[in-house]
Amino acid sequence: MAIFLEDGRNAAAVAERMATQLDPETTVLTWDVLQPEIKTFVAMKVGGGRVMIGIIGLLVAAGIFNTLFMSVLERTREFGIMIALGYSPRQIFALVMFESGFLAVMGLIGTAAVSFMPYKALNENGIDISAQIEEAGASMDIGGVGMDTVMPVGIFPESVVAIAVLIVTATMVAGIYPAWRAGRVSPVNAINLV
Amino acid sequence: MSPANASTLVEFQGVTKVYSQGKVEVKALRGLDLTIHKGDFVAIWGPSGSGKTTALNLIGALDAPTSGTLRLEGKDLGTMSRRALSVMRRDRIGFVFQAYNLIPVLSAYENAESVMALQGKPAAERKARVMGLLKDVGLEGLENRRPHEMSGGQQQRVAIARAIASNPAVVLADEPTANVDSETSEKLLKLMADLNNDHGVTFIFSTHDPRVMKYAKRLVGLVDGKVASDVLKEQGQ
Repeated sequence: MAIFLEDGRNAAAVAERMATQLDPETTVLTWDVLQPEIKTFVAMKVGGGRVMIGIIGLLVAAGIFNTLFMSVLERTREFGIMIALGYSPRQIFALVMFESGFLAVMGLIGTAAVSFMPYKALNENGIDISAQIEEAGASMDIGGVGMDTVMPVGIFPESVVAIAVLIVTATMVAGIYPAWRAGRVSPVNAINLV
Repeated sequence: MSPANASTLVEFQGVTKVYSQGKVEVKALRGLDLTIHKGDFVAIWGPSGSGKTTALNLIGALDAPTSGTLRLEGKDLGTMSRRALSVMRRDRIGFVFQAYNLIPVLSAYENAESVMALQGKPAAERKARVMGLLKDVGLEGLENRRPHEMSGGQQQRVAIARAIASNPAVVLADEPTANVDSETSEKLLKLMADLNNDHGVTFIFSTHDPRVMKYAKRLVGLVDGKVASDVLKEQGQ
């Protein structure tokens, strides 16, 4: 008997619970025990995906750093004036860090707004790769298990939270040096910049 | 020159300031001794490179002396922490710059209010004070204009309002009339002279504008980073 779960990540827990409730002679096996080739394939896909996410995260952080750093450089005179008026380096640092946080939150909201409809469409229809499979003369068969040529698209709620936290953290970290530098502006030099 | 006493506001004692430009050392101040009193309306004048702007930057705690002692209200600025200097600038010093240096994204009202807001003054107190000041400097009705929507003279009036809004002990004005026409210059100087006469606000100018020197009550001439002359003018002279 094969049992399909809504979320494959629950397979081990469900199997364990079933094993305690069924006849001792009945064996409950999870998909990854039955098909270790698929487990390896999935592990490779997940690992590769994480590396890609890491690279994209670094690129995003570099982009944010560049934006914040240029913003600080362009506003050197403004920070110099503010320091002359009595803002402390700590207050200037906090101001730029606040701007970094604001940028991160607005970026998240903007991204969610822009990507919601495309995600919804992909979630409902999946990604059909049958043409590519056919062109390559391959078959959607891994370790003797046939796979659907329409790849389902979905994102777990905890992944959304993790990505949001990652983006905000990356943005805040990227903002530290520009914020520190803004607080160190020499008012004498900055005010003479016209 | 009178000795330091209760009326002493600024006191330079053998102050030197040396800037390094690559391998070249520029001696901007060479042992400056100068005392400025509360209520003074003093112009520090001299040729370019005489050290007048450097002197103002030091009084304003924007820069530190290389050697010597500089006291503002009896406090040695050379021994104060960065944080304490920020508080000193916020609460005790007002600045009027040659290039106005208003915050471009803020309105006239917000610029004038900015230091009071930084001081944590209540909104009602800020509003009453700033609206009164903007009226005093002739900017009633222009509160919501941003710097780019105002003339140079109007921007300098906002800068003056900002400088005195926080009730500082001294207002430092670096060439405040350099970027405005003669008529505006006269009006600005009259405005600052009135603030000095009516409210006892101490003004220290760095200038080589004869119009500023005409209004000043005391003229301190600097040459090569030292006081070359110190003249207390008679009232109305």
